[in-house]
Amino acid sequence: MISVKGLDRIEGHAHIKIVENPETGSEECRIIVDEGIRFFEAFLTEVPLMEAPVIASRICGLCSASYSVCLSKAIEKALGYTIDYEAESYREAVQMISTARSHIAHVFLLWLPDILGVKSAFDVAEVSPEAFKVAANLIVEMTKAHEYLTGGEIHPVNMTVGGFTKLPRENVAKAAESLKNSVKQAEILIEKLSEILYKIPKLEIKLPYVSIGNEEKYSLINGPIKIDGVKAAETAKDLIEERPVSYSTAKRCTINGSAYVVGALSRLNNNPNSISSEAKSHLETLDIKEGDRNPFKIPLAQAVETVHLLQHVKTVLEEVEPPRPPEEIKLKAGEGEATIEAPRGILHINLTLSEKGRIKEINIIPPTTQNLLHMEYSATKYLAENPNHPQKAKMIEVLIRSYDPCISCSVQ
Amino acid sequence: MMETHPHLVPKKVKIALYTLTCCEGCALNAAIALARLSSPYIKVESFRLIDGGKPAEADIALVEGAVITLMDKELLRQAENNSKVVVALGSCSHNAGLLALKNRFTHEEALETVYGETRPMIPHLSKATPVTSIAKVDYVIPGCPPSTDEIESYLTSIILGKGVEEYEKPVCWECRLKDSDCLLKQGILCLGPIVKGGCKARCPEYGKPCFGCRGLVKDAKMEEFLESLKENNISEKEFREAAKLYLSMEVSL
Repeated sequence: MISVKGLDRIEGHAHIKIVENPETGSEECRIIVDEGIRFFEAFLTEVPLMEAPVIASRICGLCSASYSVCLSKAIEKALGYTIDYEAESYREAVQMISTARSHIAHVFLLWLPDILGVKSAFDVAEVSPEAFKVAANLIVEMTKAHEYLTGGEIHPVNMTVGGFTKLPRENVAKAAESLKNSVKQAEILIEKLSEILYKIPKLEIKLPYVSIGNEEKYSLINGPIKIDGVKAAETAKDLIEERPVSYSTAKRCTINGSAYVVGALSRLNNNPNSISSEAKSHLETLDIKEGDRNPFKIPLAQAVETVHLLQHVKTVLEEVEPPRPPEEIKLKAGEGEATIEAPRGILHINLTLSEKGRIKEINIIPPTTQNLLHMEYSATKYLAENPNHPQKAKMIEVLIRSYDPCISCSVQ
Repeated sequence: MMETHPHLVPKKVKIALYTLTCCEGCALNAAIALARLSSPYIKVESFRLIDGGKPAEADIALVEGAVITLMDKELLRQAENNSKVVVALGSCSHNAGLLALKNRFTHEEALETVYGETRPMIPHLSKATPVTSIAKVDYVIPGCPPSTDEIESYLTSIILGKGVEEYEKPVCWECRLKDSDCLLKQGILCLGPIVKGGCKARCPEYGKPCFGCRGLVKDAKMEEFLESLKENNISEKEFREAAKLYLSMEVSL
């Protein structure tokens, strides 16, 4: 073993191990996830069905809406329940606000210190006060909007099977007011990021990028799965193979036996025709190429995507009537599944319900679980390409942090 | 400019946040609360998400999460040793919250369900245990998660040495003040009458019943509550099911 290093400034507990392959003599990277197992997949069977999305949102503080939305959709599929246009639109709007907030927090609080060569977000506030102020303000305003729409700053209160239990009209107006300058602020942040592009390391990982992909409407909650720009399946269910490994509480995933990458960069790569023209122009500003395969650029993709997401949210809040509470929902046995895009990429849930409408079995595949193998692969490649880099362990840490790993999710 | 006498300069209150196994939602709200409190008299010494969180000497340790792994136990020991005041932040830390649901299975059963044959070699305790059961805790900030406003106000009281008065009225109290529609009267199970408030009755306000994330109110009137369930055609079985979520350590199920 060459070195072990704790991964700081990420959500959850993990460390990186660099080992020497005894056969080839080359250096390889392992990500040891030692986060505690909370066993959501075991205990969700104990939870009353209508509460399950609320409880599942506690899988993660950063991307809680994703679990609420994905589990609600999987249960609706099993029950044969279709939600109306308004509920669907607001569900996606919340998912987009939550994603944009997670992106900005990652880019400016967790990742930027690496690129600026400082230790923490506190130092970013010293070195780049304007960017820090705009980012912090944007996070606070998005948190307010999230609270107006869902009743919770972190975990949505009113979102469940069937849509929203209650969403007052005046709350929609307040959320819109909170976000009125948000697109502009996101664009200021993109300008700031454009000044540091020369510091982004080069790397090309020739493994598939995977996400939901649509031709007309950019969506985080609906659409087929695309691999390298080509439609591969309607859902992720039969695509992803998940297996446990002994050195980590997080499992590892493959598609057709290969590691792959999910997240904001994959989404932009797979949706070239459906992102807004403004977001498209920012791709150029931040030097993101068509089909870009440099994982160091994932945070830049998050910043670009944020512009598109906030533009879309604004339209929904201005144009779509607030949803009404769902009709009575009849419980029955069935199988259901849903694939959505969480901030860090594909989130897939499939489940079986009993006749009384209890969860009998559930499998949750979070995005970070899917990215771990890709992270190990690209870190190993970086080591091979930069054998004499004076700070290679540090650079591997920067690389892993670019993926925005959410370790609590990856174990759940 | 006049120089201040060194004895008159107040010392900075040092705050450290420790993250055990959890969703880190409490840390996110704490980050916003600390940013609002930020003043020349407060210094964040250690905060995992922001600066990597190396354990550091501090006046106040905020501990989020439940004790699930051996590493959690070690982190908690460091929090106790390095800090003058230990604060349990949020329901996982307070009463293991919904993570206690795992304790309905043996560790072996849970592993079998989730991992099958290949088991991760990361040492776990057999049960999810709240911080309050293991460490000497000075204050509890309840909630799943506590709001930014609440964390800010608790911390202000603790820093000023005013002590913290625990909110001892049930959720119903604030719910009535808000004039929200009573869910129980509509035949929907809501634990508001027996659960500690202070949350501004946010869930019932948004049409969702209270599931008790802040624990039972002191002297909860359980018999009266069960009687009111009967009156509203809600079965006791339904109540026992709901109490599993957050109250499994307080209600015999």
